[in-house]
Amino acid sequence: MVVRNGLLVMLDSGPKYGYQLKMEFEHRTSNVWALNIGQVYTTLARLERDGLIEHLDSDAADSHQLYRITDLGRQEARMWFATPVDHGTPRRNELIMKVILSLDSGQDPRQVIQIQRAAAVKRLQEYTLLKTDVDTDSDLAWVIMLDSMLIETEAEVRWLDLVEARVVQSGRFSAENLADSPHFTAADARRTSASEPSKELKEAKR
Amino acid sequence: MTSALEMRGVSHEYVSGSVVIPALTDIDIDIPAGMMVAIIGASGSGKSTLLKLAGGLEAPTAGEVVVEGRAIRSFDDTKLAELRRRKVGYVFQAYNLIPSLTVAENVSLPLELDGFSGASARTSALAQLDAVGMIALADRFPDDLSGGEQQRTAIARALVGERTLVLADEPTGALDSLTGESIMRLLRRRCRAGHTVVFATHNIAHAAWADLVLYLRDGRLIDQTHRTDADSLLAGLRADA
Repeated sequence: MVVRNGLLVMLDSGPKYGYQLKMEFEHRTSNVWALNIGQVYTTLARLERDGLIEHLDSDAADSHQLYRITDLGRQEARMWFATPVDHGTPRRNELIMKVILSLDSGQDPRQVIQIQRAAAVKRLQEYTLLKTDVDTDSDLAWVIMLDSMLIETEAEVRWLDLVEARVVQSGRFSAENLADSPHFTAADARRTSASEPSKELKEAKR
Repeated sequence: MTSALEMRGVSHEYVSGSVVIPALTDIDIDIPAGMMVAIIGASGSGKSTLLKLAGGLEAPTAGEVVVEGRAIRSFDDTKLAELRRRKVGYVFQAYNLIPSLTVAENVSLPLELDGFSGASARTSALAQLDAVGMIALADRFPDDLSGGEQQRTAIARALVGERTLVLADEPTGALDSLTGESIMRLLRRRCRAGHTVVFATHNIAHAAWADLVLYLRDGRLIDQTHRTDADSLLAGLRADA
């Protein structure tokens, strides 16, 4: 839907060629979504079939096809901005299932939470690194996109913090309760996310 | 590279009557100069205590705190005061501004105590207030400021002068998202210049500005994540749609 409506929005400012539309789409989304030129032409063909755009008679000296938006297409583009995005039914989420299943598995759920939290924070650090040197005024589209991904990841960490607080509050998983349970070792955890503190610090120091 | 801050086997307990409350247990960290470090963890996990020990505001029950190669346990009161005045900039959670001094006077105070002339201290203070977006309020008094403005004043006071280790307890707690981000950018620039910043935060988005994130739970250091490059992430983001 985003490609279809995106092309319509760009044609609203004047007639354009397929390749022009591809370049403008990528530029306006800070090259985060690369568009396949084949997909552009397929979408243009569908838009034309639905009466939302029409092609202009091509210049004999120029084989490129120029497209322009119709009144119906203009209406459709306005409607897109006026309608909220429907995210559909929430998908089954492996992380939620994993955390819930860890509660009665003999594992320490706080460890499961910390492994995921460390991975999410590392991702946050990487997104933030991408944002560090950006001029937020001149590269607004890129910053907006990074902010969206940052906040989505931040929400995951906040949820993990909340789950941990609930687990602790429940009193079911105190250190004593877990002393004899067959939980995985710190080495297992390191394989998936974090590494041994002093070693990493030494490497950073080098 | 030299270490800006080391903790070796540091533990700390608070005693309340006959009750002993362990605040930190067996902390080992070694932070190189120029690094930006965030400490995260639930309330009561030991974040503030760790910062207080690092700044010499409290002495650990056990272990050694070493700032720029010098164990601060060996410092007498004069040396400790000098360390806090010259080396360490501290942002307190409650700001600790002096109500009878203006914003500019609060910020220039550490320099004046260190022997700088009033005029030169004020010049440095104004430059720092400009960096935190507070220059227009330089002659106001703390009571006339919002929480966020007081917090930015406290940050300017910690950054003024050439103090090489900045310790900050929740430095962005009262700030909106964009102001908080601008403070993080300021702290990163400080680290690029070779200074070291260690801050405690509940704001995970701000923690992500750090090179190193330390996780405290029940007074113990349980994990850490390092900021590496973002090349693979960038490639994934820009893959063909």
